[in-house]
Amino acid sequence: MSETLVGKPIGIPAEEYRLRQKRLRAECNAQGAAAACVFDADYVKYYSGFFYSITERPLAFLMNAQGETALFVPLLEKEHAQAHGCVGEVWTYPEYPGLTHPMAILAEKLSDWGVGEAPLLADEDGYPWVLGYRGPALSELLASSVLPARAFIEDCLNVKSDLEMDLLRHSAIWGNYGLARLVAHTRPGRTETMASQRATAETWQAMLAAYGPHYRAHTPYYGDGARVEYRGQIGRNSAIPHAIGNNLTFQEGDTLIGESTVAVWGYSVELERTFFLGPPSEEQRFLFRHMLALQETAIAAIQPGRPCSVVDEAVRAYFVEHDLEHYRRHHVGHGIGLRYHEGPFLDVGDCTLMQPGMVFTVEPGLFDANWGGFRHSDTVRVTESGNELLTLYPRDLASCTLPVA
Amino acid sequence: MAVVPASIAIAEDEYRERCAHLQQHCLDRGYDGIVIFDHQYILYYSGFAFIPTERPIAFAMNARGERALFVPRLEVEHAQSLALIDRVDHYLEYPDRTHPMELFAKALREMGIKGRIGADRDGYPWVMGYRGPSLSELMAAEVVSIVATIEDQMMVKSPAEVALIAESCKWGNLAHMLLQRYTRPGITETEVSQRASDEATRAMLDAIGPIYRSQSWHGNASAGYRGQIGRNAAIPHALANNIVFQDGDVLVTGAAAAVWGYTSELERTMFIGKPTDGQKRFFDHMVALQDIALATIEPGRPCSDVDLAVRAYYEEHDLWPHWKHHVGHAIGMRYHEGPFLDHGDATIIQPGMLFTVEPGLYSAELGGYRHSDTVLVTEDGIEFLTYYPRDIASLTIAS
Repeated sequence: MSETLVGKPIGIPAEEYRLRQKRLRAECNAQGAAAACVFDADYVKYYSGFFYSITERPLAFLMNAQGETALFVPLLEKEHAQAHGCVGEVWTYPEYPGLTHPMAILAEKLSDWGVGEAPLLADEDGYPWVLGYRGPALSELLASSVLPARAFIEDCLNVKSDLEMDLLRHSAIWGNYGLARLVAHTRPGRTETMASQRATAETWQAMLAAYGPHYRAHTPYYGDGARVEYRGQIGRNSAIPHAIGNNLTFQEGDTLIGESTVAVWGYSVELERTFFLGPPSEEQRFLFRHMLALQETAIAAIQPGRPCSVVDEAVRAYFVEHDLEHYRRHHVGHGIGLRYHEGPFLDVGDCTLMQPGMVFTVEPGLFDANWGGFRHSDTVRVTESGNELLTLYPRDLASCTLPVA
Repeated sequence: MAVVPASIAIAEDEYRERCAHLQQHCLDRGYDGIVIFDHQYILYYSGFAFIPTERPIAFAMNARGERALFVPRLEVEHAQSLALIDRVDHYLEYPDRTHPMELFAKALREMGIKGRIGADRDGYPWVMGYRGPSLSELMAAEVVSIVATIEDQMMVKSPAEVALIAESCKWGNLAHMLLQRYTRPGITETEVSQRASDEATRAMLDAIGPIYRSQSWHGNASAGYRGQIGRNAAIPHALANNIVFQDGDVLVTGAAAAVWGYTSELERTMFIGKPTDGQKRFFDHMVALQDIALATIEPGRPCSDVDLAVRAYYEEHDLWPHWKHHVGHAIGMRYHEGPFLDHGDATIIQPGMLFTVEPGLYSAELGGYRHSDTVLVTEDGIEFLTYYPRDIASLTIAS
């Protein structure tokens, strides 16, 4: 009896994949396409629930105008796709390159669906040439036009469902835990690698203890799921926003940017904090204070119905008003969900209207070659009436000043 | 007096040679210039390592060999630090009021890159929410794909590249040794993998010292199982599943290390406790398959020969139900690259090519069986770069 007593599973259920597929089908019908073909790995995951490693072996999600669905996979992924893919059929090809090119096999399957007479809706005109893959365009093989699907798919991904929002909340809680562990291991004389490894391992262990063995990270972007680190953004080096970790040793007086990203069934929020190792100098306090005010300006401007650009404009006005323009390097933030960056963007040039269900990172930053980088990143969701912070870590100066002993 | 450690990174001259090769291709085909968007290709030609995002980044070279990087504001200092680059053009932000590609078009025209352009893609790919015009629309130019040329060039490795991949093998070997040492019944793959990877990474960072650069976003040294444990080992591209090790498990591992942008591949089939007769039979066949493949790799022969020789063994021993994939692939800056040890790949094997050799056997009842070694093609045969033991006794863990 006890075996039948199971809790509600975490993750995206089959009904939600079917709902996503239904929307794609409607788009197919609206455009008069016979079928849709999706090659991008994140899109395949979004429509099928099949999470896999990207290789040169082409893999696609397919759906015809009648709503029948399939995954096209190499033989070695057959059982894996059958077990996890939320699709009607799994089509296989033996191997890439093989004696018959996999795309020729796919083209034949698509012809059976009536593609050729009617156009095909696709994110790419053929599998992209990654990791040594070479192959023909679908339009060459099918003698039918290929209608672009990317903008439509991106628009779908940009607005999150309630279930997606639940996963993002889970991610936020573990991100918070991870950052707390990172801070606990940060001391002058220690290396960033040691702090990062310990915090990452502890976060993982706590998650496994909490979720049990059915936890799935389902992401290609953050190692095994948790990624807690400074990425080399330490001391003066923290002025390089997209640095790659270099095993630096912490010193008293350093400005640090720590980040904690935890993927939960494919989804993650972004959490970054600017820390000081020991009491900050006057200059450090000055830049920190303005950074906080910039972030508050941005958050106050996030409201449904307004264009994304107004958030960046409000932040830029603050930079100008306080004579800080020379510290500015990038816009306010970006969408986030299945990918570490996605649209729309909190940028003067993005006129997408903010909608309830959109999720943004809010991370205006100040960068100085001598003093380093000053940036908090929080993740907020747009609600019916404004916005709500998903990330939890304290933002104030006292909480972000770390002990040196 | 300052102590300057010797570097094993790719030297500036080698980047210059790589660019010169591409420039020659540009001249031969009558292109006005070359445009590259892929981050691995950009690293290969310029030494510029970065995290790809929706902010477009491109490398451009005109027919005179003038080299440029086009980057967002936040990467300017990083790009300017590269001696090899003649000019850095930047845009403030993506999407911004003026689309970055319009500024890029201006820079390309200034460099004389316009009518006929060789490019890896017709525009920056629509990744991470990026949306933008194709290069051919933008420049009103003819854009010809040069991916095949780039891939052909990257296939044959220089001695400096081989040295980096050998260095990667060394740290992959350490991670693997620790993985095997820490694996025992009752604990999870995650615990073991994390401990082995973390220790190996710290040892590597301490040993190579401050000159070390991963030039890769995917961490340092690592070893793990990716869920290929017990019956689940029959799924070759499984993702990690937090499985608890049990006595009697067959395990398939994977280990590598990122060293200045290069990687390697080491995989082993291991057992917890004494293997059964059925497990031993599969293991022996797998090693025999790998031996055949290794013996067939020779310069001058087509890649397909290797797969055909291995396929003959499957046929002869009635093993087809257990076949799931070809023999292997090339490796270098990317974890998979061409050419492929596949009966459909007629590329001629050449000295300086590197392959993974990893024929496998899979059974729903008995699990997966696959060793993978990284080998270098030499003038007269092959040389192992990975060197972890392959025999069953060395790979059996006490229960």
